[in-house]
Amino acid sequence: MAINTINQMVAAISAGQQFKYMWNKQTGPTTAYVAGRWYATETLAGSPAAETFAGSSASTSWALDSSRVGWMPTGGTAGSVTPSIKNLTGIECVTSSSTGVPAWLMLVDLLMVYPSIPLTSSPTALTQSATLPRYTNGQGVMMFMELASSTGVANTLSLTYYNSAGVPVSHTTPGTINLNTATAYIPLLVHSGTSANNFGPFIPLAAGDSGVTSVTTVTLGGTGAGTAHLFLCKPLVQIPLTQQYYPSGRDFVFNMPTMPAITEAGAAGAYLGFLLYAGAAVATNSQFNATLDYVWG
Amino acid sequence: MAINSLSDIIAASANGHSQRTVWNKATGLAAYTAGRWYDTSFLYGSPTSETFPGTALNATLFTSTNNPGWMNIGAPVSPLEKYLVNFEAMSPVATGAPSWLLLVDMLMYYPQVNLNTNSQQNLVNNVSLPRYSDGNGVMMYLNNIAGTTGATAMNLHPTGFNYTNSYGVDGRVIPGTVALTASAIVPQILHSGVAANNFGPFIPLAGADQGVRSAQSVQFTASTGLAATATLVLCRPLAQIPISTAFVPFGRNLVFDMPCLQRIYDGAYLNFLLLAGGAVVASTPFYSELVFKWG
Repeated sequence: MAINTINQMVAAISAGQQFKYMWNKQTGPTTAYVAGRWYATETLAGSPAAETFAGSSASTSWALDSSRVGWMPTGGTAGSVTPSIKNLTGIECVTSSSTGVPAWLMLVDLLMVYPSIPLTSSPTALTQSATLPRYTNGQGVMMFMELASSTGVANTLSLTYYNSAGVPVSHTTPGTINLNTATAYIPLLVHSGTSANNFGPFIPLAAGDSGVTSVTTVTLGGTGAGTAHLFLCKPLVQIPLTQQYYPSGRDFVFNMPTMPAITEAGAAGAYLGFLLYAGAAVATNSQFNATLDYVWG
Repeated sequence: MAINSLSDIIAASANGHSQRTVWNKATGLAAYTAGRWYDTSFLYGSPTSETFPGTALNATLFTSTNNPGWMNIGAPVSPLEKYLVNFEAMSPVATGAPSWLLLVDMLMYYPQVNLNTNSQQNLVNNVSLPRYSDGNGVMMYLNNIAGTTGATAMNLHPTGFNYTNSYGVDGRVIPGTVALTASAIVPQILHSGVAANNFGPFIPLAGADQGVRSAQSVQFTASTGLAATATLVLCRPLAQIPISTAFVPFGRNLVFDMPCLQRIYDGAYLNFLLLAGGAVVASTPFYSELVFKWG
């Protein structure tokens, strides 16, 4: 089953196989964001609820799906429509904050997280208690590290991971990856920014790699502080925000015809989230809204 | 029967299965505040002002006979099925743009919620959702319909505001702080705005909930200090449209532009929620034209 023609899409909508969700998040109350850095949004308050990682264990892989508290509804029973196939057909977004523009929102399927990894100099061996719930071969799956509690000094980061070819060959991130300093705060993607050797939103992979299935160790170049969540995700679509209060729309059928499939694993729905690229010093308590339209058949 | 293809849409037009509705509302006597959402059903115009009749705190269905603010979507067409295929919106006033209109299907409401008490107000559910009956995708908002709220800071109560989600689980509570705006005028959606813990247009749901079937109680952390009442509305979002420049109509084709062609059930009560992008001055008109087809 799938939507293969425009007529099938019309028929699916006609049959009620569609869902609209209104996403609304507010940046935190403490510190403004920094232009040129990426931020995650799944831990922010709003709709859907803030992710709390309840039930997870530090540095241990934890699969993300429609059973988690920060899950964004996408339609269907408990978020899944299998064996039908669900597609995203359009997004529209807006911010009421003058410092919320320009910005770039990237929608990703958040697959798995290693929560609360200590940002210390000793290599941290990660525990594998879950595997990728979707995109299981890791093709196109990327990594980002989101700050969970305040970092200390500037550091470098290296990871060892299995790529989309799987075990047994472990790979190491290439070159130098600099993390941000004590001024960084939740929910910054701690390796993103405009300084030398900052990269974002994703952690660079070794030459020739096209995805990740699991991460085995995290190593910092010096003594640090705080913790971070390491996510594995699959990028889906992106949309720019250019002017305060001016909604920006993107049609994925005719305008930017990617019409991404939302992969679901049996009864468990996908866990989608936005990453935000700040184009300015986004003020505290800035509002972001988006509508997302899905259809399945 | 249903519209299942582009050919069916053309055939519906050829057979006269089409309805064009012009919507026109004017804001009230006070200016709006940028960043806040407003419920336009309360405003005068076409259709006329909604009064949210009913027994206080009792679930009440929006219907074409009970509610004066019902938008004319045409007569029932069952066993055919009706769809919104496109719409257009415009405001002739400079402060009416930029703004964002969200079209919703208003399903059920709890009238006369007292904003001037911090006691728990229990809701009575003798009726249930008339459409989208499992509550999947149904959201809630609380609008101010009488009096301006006071300056007291007040939130939705973290445990005293209860609802049943679309899985039938009751006793659900909001997932964090939801702050109401002080000095909110009619018909503001009270929890929307740009202050800390304002959210809009809808009240955030508890983790992994994707809709609301009914609400059981409302409570605030403080009294507003002035006589004011609100309505708790359950609705389902359908489509949205931006207004970017005064006098410039913006059109949206829901077949080819943002293809989310929306089913409009017989008897549906449609309404626009407005996100003000500026200090919308008093008596600002807004227009929309909606085109429905059925087959």
